[in-house]
Amino acid sequence: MNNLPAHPSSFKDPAGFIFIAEGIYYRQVNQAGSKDYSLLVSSGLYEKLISKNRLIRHTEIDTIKSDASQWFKTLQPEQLPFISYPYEWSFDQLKDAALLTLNIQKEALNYGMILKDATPFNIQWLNSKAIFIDTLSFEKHKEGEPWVAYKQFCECFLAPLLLMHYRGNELNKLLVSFPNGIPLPIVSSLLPFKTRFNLNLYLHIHLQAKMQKKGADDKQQNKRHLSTTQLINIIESLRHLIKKLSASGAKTTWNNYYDETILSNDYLMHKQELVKNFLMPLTFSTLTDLGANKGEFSLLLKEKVTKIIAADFDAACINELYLHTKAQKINNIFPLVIDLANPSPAIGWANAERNSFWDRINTDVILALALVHHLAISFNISFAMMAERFSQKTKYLLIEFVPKGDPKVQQLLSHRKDVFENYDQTTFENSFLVYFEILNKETIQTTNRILYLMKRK
Amino acid sequence: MKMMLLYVDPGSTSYLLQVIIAAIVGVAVYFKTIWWRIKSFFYKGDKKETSTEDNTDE
Repeated sequence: MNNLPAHPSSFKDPAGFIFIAEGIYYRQVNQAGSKDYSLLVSSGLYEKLISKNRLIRHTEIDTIKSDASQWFKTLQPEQLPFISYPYEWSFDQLKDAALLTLNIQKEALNYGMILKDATPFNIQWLNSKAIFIDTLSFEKHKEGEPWVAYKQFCECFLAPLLLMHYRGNELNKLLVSFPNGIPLPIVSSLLPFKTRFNLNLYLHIHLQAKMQKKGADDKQQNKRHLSTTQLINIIESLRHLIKKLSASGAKTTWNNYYDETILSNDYLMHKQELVKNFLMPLTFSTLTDLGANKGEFSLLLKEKVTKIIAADFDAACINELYLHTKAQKINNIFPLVIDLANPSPAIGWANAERNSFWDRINTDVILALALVHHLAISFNISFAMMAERFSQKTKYLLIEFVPKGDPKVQQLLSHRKDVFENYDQTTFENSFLVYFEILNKETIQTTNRILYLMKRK
Repeated sequence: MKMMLLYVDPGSTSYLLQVIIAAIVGVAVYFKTIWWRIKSFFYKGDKKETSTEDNTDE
């Protein structure tokens, strides 16, 4: 196979690129990247990183080439179950990705190599852990040279983490607008004044921002020398700073949804029983849990499927779910911070570098529990719109109808005018019957909420 | 932000900064090491972890 086009996100590095052949992702190493790739393998760094599960494993394949004129090698990396982006990660996901990058950088220096870029887009999730996926990010380190990706690391990892820590977990969404890094003068002005008194933070953010603003031109550049120990000190200083950061705020509106609400324990238990009873007879392998909260139902169903995408707009809930999946080594749940009323768009050059959220979703089952009233009443999204969207993405739909009399709906309506005349069970059923057939439905105990199992027509 | 910035080589600022940071952090590490030595002299039985090796991703 020859002349397969490069993946639209893989055009920046002359050392090689990603391409897809028959649904499988490959990485071509170009002649331009041959020396560094060979050094990665011959130095033992590749083996070292693989043994620590820090870098994606690959096998060399000689039969498939994309661009034969530049070809040196084709790598077939371990295939990833799902691709997600840093603006969809919770605080601790981004933090772990940052620490992984620093650990890899430090390890690389021990082997005479260095990371030539430091972007969170080089990190993905495999077996509930962050893993570095860009095998061609490593280059030979010339003794005395600085870290060329230092600024990028500060703008892409450190900046969003600090903003999330000091100003709010939702600020990871700034990476949608600034996927190549948040400009440090902006970051510096957004951080609280007190952060100027933290030495590491002052040096990496405020001083750097000041120097960028001034446009300091280093005339002495050729005479300067940075030893490997000095570079490691810089990495340690970054790590020290990042390790101390935590997600901002303790409790949010939803992260105690099932703990403390007026919704009783009987409701939750009966709902869990119904979800199991409805889904267990079916055969399916992938599930998307929309409005997953802390993942109660994803966790309930994890044994039955190969892959679960658990999405919620509450960053604190998703953070808790991530920490849980990481601690319990639950390999098949992918927690994502997604606002369904405004999910991640397609971004980058030609809007093709990073796919939109829905472009990446094609699932056997969609779980939409305690969700429709939020979409309908907070965002004016009609049942017909929901039915159409879900029918394009799933075969089965497990959906909970929350009637207008429900205390949660009343709570949503208390601050706004009720313009939802068509918010009723008949409209709900008729809207979904256009695309789905109803296989099962049952009222959940102690409430008037109804759980439906539907199958696409 | 000034548009001027786009024409300044971003590498040279970052190079100078890394030299400055390395110098300051180097001094901090130097004093920390002395502090650890003093501490370990007085608390010989205390085997407190002084290594900064991180295992969070292992």
